[in-house]
Amino acid sequence: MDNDFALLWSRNHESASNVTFSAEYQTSEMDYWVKLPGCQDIVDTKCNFSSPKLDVYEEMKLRIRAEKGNHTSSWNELDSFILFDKARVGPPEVHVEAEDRAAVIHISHPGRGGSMWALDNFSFRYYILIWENPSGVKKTFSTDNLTERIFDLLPETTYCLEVKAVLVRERKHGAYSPVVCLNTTVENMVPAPENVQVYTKNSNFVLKWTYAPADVTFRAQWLPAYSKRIHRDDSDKWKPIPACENVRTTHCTFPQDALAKGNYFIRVQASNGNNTSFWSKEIRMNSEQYIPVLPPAIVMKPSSESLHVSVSFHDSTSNFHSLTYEIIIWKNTSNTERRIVERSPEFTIADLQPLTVYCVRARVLIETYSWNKSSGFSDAMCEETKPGGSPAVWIAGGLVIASLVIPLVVCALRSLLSCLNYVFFPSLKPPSNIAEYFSEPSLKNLLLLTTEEQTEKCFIIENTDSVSVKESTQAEDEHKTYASQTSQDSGHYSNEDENAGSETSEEFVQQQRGHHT
Amino acid sequence: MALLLPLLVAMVVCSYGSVSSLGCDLPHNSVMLTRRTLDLLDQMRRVSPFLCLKDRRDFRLPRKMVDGVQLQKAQAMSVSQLVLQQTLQLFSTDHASAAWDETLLLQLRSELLQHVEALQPCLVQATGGDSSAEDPSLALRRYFRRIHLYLKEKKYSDCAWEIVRSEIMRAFS
Repeated sequence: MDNDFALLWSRNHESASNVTFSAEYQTSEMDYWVKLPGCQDIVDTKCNFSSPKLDVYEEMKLRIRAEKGNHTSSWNELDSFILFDKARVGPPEVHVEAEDRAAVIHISHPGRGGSMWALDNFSFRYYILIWENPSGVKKTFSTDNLTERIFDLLPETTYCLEVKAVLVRERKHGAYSPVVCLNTTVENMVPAPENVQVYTKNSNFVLKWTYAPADVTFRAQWLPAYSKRIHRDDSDKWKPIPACENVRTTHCTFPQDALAKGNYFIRVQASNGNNTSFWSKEIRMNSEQYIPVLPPAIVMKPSSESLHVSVSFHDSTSNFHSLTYEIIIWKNTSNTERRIVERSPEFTIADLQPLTVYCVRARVLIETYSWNKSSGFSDAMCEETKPGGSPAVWIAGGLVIASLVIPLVVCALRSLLSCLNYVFFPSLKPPSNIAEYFSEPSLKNLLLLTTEEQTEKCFIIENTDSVSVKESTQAEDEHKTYASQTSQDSGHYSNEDENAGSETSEEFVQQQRGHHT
Repeated sequence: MALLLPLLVAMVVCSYGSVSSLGCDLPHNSVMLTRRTLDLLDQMRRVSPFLCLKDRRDFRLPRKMVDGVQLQKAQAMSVSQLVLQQTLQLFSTDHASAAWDETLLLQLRSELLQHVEALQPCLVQATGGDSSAEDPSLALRRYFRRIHLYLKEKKYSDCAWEIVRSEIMRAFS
């Protein structure tokens, strides 16, 4: 629990007496084993060790062995683990103070003085269980503060309470503290002020409260909100608000710059000269929420049917705040306004009419988890939308483009057609110069490449069948190889004359032939 | 093409609108301190870093736990909360009160606390019960522990604090 751990093991039942055990540890940053303090020469099967000097976030290995005289067993090593993960949350320490109608609870976070929760001052949430002794209904309050006040109790009554700590992120619930009881005092002669509120006026804060009896003076104090999370006793941390010292009215005013931008608690006390009241309920306020926000600046870029708007907002607000932009747009000539809400500082307003003057105002809304505020509206910015897309312009543009594009398309189509023709319908005429050169009919016939047999006819008297078969195959082979040289298609030559096909394709084919031969 | 841009803008805006006003979902997915925190840390500088060169230390920030690439958005908010919380812890000690300007420190602590509380609902338990070196929360705790030990070792000198101040600014901006 917290900083203390127990290591347990079982002994080998065959071992005799006079056996002791010792343990060592090693973290992932070390490359040697260190004796574990509190677990050396243990007779029992259990030892306790604590974590003050250990790094609780590092992976750690433990090993243990038995020793008897000069003999030692081999090391038994445990799987590595992280102390922080294995630790359980212990009970917090609790002190109480009684008032007439309230109890003040001072909590110390668990494992104080140890290293286990050393970095977790702000990681705990406390649950206070309080009931009227002996058998009242148990009420639970949760708080992040180390100093907490529970109000609306009855005077001269016994209340008991217990507190547990929860490590929020890791969801570790701790053990409850021992029960502590208190007796609320008799009712104070001077009651405490009630309904304390804060609001702004001009550039001041106005603090006001309700109070029935007359002839009392009041004073007010402030405390930075984080103080309650650090100090279990905040009584000496409260500071007075000078403008609210010894006032006789149930309100006081102090300038906004008396408090730096931040989160505060404020409380008020009454005094009738001889006696003072207990402190009022504390109210929490965020001074930033009251600081006025300047309106944003707008930049607009018009187009024919829309306006592109950029809203720029300069403030050192946090990037964890949520910003929303509220826009009002209207036509210069009319009064009807249109309201738009955007989350992005850059956006476009569409569905507008061309050649119209539109005016725009914008304001920013800042939202946080506990408060929101908005700036005033900016001054109106007006812009005229551009002329619309008139048909004449489009037609002219279209014609120009068409006159450039159509010839290109035609050329492309023509070359595509001729290409197709070449592939599917090749011309069988060789180029004219080659045709002249080759006067011999046999060669000419070879070049012409028809499906008819063109080999010379050889006649052998005996075995005519086999010979003719051979010849024909040979011719076919030749034919086939020739075919593969000149074209992709195999065996699909039509028997067309050279006059078939268009003239252009024929020329094209002849040029191809020229290449190949 | 002219119509496509407003359509895209409208889509982006619509997707923003569907997220709750203060969800744990923000456009950035890298771990960072708030703009105001960095502003205040900057203002708090007392000693010139050039006088503290011999005190420099590599605190071995687990970069990949902080970089946008490794983290999913949900994790980024949860890890940001841890960084804010640990920074608050660092600057909430009595040693910090002795070292820094009171007014700036008050504002810094207020600013940090506000966001530590605001982001509390965004906490994501990174890897359930399985704690490994990949758990960003453990890696960052080790990092902050190194900083605490360094300050103790240097007896909370002005130079040590300056090194720590600039380290935090550099790591999480």
